[in-house]
Amino acid sequence: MSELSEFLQHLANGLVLGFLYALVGIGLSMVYGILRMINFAHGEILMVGVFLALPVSALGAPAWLVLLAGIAGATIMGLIVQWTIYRPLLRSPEVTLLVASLGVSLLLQNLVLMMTSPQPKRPAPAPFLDQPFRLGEIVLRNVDIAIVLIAIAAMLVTHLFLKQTRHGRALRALAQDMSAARMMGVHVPFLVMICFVIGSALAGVAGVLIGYKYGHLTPLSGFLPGLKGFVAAVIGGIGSFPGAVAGGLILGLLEIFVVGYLPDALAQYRDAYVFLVLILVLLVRPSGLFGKPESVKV
Amino acid sequence: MSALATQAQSVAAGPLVRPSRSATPVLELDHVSINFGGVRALENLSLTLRAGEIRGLIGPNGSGKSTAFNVITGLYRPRSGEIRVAGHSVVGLRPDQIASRGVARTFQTLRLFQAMSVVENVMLGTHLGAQAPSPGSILLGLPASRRFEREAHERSMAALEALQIADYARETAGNLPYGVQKRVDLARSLVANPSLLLLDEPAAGLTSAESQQLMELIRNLHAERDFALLLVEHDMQFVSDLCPRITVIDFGKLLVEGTPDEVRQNREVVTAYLGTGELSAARTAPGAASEASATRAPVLEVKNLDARYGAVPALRSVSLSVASGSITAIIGANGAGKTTLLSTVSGIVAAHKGRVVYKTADITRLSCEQRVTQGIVMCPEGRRLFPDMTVQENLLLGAYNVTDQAVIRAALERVYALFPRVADRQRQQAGTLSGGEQQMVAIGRSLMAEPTLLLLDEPSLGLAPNLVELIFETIAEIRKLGCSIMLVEQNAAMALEVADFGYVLETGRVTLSAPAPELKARSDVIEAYLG
Repeated sequence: MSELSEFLQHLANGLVLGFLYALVGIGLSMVYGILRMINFAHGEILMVGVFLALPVSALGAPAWLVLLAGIAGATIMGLIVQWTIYRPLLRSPEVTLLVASLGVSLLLQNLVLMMTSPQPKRPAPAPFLDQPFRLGEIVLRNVDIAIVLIAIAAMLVTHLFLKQTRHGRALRALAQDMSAARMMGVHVPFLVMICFVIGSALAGVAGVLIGYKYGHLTPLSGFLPGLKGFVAAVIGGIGSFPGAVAGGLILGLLEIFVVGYLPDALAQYRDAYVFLVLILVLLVRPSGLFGKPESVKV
Repeated sequence: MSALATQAQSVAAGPLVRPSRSATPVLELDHVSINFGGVRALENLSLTLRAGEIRGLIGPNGSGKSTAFNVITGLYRPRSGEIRVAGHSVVGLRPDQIASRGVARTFQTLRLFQAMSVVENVMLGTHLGAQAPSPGSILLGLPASRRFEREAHERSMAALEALQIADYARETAGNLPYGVQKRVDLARSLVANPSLLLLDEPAAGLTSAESQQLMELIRNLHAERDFALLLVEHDMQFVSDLCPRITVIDFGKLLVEGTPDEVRQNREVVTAYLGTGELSAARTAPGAASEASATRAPVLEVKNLDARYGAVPALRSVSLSVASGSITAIIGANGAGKTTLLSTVSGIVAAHKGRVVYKTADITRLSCEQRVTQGIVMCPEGRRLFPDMTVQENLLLGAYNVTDQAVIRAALERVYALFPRVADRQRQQAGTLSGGEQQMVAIGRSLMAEPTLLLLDEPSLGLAPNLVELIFETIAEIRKLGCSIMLVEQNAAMALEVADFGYVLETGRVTLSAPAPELKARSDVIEAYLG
């Protein structure tokens, strides 16, 4: 394999991974933009989404149906969490919401652990998705192409929703000035709900795609994607939609290049590098690539 | 630990300025400029303050008064220009370093440590410029540190006594009435014995009796301690009585400097700040409308309304009514409760007591969003546009609850007809518009839902005089569209020019109400309000 094709192979793998992180990061970023809250349970919503899709897959349903089931599962889980736990806390200080989300995260992990088992699970094999996909010398699988296409489609739909519809506009307005948005007649709890629906649905997409790509699902499977989605959102500038996409792609590329080019002894700490980048970004540009610095008026 | 100690020592070793009648001015601003995101907040501002001098600094909201304070105290760094305290440049120094050179300030919005006692709050002020004992000595409770604490305590108590609030020393600062908290803030800034004191709106939110007392206190303190004083205040009476000389700034630039009388007679100041109340166009003509409105049914009635922020009362038993199709002006000093009144009518602030009746229905318990769908729309102070969205998107948000596309298109056209300048900028980001254009978009946005009752909060705030007139003429035109307007304005003369009826609000109470022409003719109202 030539050096160039090796580079291109890493690039392709990095982009695929990056799209997954971006899908997770968007939901985190949108919730933060409106509630100024870091939803640590976001990864667990993703995990519950896949776990609810697994029985559908076991019944022999096609992959697209499993995907829809995952989206539905994650969305319902996200709504339940938002209605029962976050909604009553809407007027609490942000730190209360943050701690609550940590609690939800642990609760969901352990609930799923109790109801299933720690044994790793995987969706029923989908032979088409596992077939190799060649692009010149680059070798991927069909599932990777599906990830990229589905992620782009999901992002495009979200983008159009935010730009072109009245609720989308209201969501953006809410992130900029909540009380001014209320003065326009925007019903805040309803839009917070929409925000959770979008974020959870995208997490559900990511969850099922992760299931098909890696096929090693445990009740802890949401933890790392959730954390990396958070890092992606911070790198891009938390609260910014394009920022979350860019942050996810950067993070995915970085992780793959670290694994690909560093000696094995160093590459095995791949997750540590992600957080090293987080720390560097926070030191050099705390508001992220697309974020705006928050200033306190005196 | 040692780093902290050295820092304290180096601070203490700095040139501590004591009040003296030397030739060197206490404060010099030399062509100071600063920008905020393309907006000039200060432009070539020069100002000299002699030792012991009392100077007033006035200007419209947003003219750069607080920015000037923030630049002097080191919170902001000027883009260009020089700032000298007692002859030494302080540009680039940290706020604590500047404070240790004898510069103390109070804040426009109170910044006390709410959970600490009054005396603890004041003792914090003694840390500046003091030779603090080393942390080790504090931990060991050595005599030096105990002596330091005792002295700090004594000095703080003396400052509290000077401000006649020593009785409150042990109380938790956050629980005290607003007037007392303001004095605690003042005591904290005085305790370090500053040679230059910067007071940012000390009388804002005080009753006239309270501000009278405060003025006496400041006079006595000044006679005793001989600091130079730079005072920002909207209450012209307060400034004129206290300051032999006044500096007026507008758009961050020096407008004029002189005695209170000179300033009051200066034409530029009158148009930029005090207001002439002259509205040229015949477009406004209330005449017939005001007569007719007297007989019309009220669109809004407010009955014995109380509102409070925490324990601080903001509205006390306010009753008023807005006649259908009329413009009702609410005037009063800063902190009188005007914005709170509008916010309570719009539902942003909950009423503590009393009722809000809209078209014969009690809406006191309705949420802000529900009131918008019923036709009560607020255009908030400071415009509050969504800066990252385009002009068009901002306007569309105003029609959030309208689903009929034809109605939305008609509303857009109406707004663009009302403000042709805005029509040219549909695709521009709202945050990049000038202040006047932003105000037009804000008013336009609140008209998108075709309100029955428009609540306009300070529409002329921070606008150039010619734009102010344009805005007021537009307000009169909006009324012709069949919309009733409740108008809160700093510019009382101008507001009464377009209004049919006026209410004067003072410390949360309605103290006067009459048809606008009558209020306007009563020079005592204008005097009391504008100074």
